[in-house]
Amino acid sequence: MIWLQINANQFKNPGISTVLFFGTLGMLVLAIGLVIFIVFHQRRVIRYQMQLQKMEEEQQKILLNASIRWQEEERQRIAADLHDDAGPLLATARLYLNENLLKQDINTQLQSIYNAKQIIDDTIQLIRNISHSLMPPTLKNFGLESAINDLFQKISGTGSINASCRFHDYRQRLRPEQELLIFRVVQELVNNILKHSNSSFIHLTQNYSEDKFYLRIHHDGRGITQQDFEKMNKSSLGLGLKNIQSRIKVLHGEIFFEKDLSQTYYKVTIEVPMEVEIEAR
Amino acid sequence: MPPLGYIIALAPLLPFGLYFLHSRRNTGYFFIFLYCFLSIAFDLALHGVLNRSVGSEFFSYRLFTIFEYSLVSLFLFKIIQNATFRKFITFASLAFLSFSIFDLISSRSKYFDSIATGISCILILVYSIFYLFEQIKSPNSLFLYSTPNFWIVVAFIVFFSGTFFIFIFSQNNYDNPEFKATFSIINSIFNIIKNLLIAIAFIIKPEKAAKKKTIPVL
Repeated sequence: MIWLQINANQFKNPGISTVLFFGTLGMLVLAIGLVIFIVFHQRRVIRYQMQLQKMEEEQQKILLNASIRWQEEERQRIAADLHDDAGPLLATARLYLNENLLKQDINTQLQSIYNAKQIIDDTIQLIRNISHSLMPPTLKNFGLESAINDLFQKISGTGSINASCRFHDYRQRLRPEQELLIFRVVQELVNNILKHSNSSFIHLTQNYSEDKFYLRIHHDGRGITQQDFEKMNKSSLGLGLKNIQSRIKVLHGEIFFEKDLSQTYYKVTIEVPMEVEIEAR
Repeated sequence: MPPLGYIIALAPLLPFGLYFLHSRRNTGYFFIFLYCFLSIAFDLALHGVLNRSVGSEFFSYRLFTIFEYSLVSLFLFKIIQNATFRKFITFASLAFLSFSIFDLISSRSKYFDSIATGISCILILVYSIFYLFEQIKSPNSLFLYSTPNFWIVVAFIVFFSGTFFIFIFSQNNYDNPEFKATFSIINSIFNIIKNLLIAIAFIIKPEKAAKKKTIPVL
């Protein structure tokens, strides 16, 4: 305030002192106001980012739990298959081949051996089915295209739904781990469509574009949109969808659920960055 | 020299000393250190020596404006990341320095260089504000005020916005003794504030942004 007094008393032109004072004050207020605004805005942005990060971590935890739960369920299923199906079959075969068999006549012996052989064949088939459900041999030996073709032919073969697939460009195979993950995602999606959509057809197409591998599934039944998918991912429901999400994350890819522009079809698009297998097959 | 004059002249000693005390050895801070050193040198000796040798009261002010702008803009150039804006700083600085040097030679320092000083104030304010906006946009999780750069930039924003008006009016009113008194008071106050803020910057320990915590891929 000292300079203000000096100006007010001594300036020949009293207008200048006022201009100087208010000019300086105005500039200062503007500058300090701007700095304060920036500081508070940044605080708000950081808080928002932290909140987002926390939500993302929670989402990751949900996915991790879902993945663990899915693994446990899969183990339980295999254990149940082995215990409930393979166990009794082998026990029955053992009964046919017990010590009393030697005391019986030759025809009964042959019949028992034949029955035991039948049961052992059934058990082999059962174990093969369990093994195939863990790792489809077509996928391992012939790749994703053949495995998906196989899956769609089996679905179409039931006659309840028309399933078709077309690979436009799959000359270079993806890495086996990627193929398995994509196959599992497709299996889960198709399973969901069969269970919930009530659609009359499923059509899958594959393509490449700009170093990205694309798979798109169309169907004409009841489906979900991206919003529904994200909502279900955050809730405790939809274990299958969470598994899809965690697999897509491992693939560093993206998945989009949308309704066709014509509002007739639902489509699911899987986008995966290309990591072609380098080894010669 | 009046007592306030000594305070002003010695105020840059505070950041100057803290620079050594806290070992802030970084190119950006070195420009600020050099700026503080030149401020002390000009206020205590160079103003008198230069003005006597050239025969003009304003020569040292003009020279100081050139040094001040160069060092502050070098510091801001160093801390701003945006490549396009760095190019803008380079071109604006080249244009401004060419103009200032030309004006210094051609005008023979007969009057206070309000235009050059005003332009330097505006340019530094623009650079400083851009730096702050750049910091808002960057995904850095550090609070702005926990970094030394923020306090240095705020020091320049406060100083150059506070003294902008008196510098603009100086060319036509510097002969007026009352204006001169007001000029020196306002300039002194903002100089002290600026040096205090720079001192705060040298006290703050620079923090590194924390690495983003992530849950391992499933």
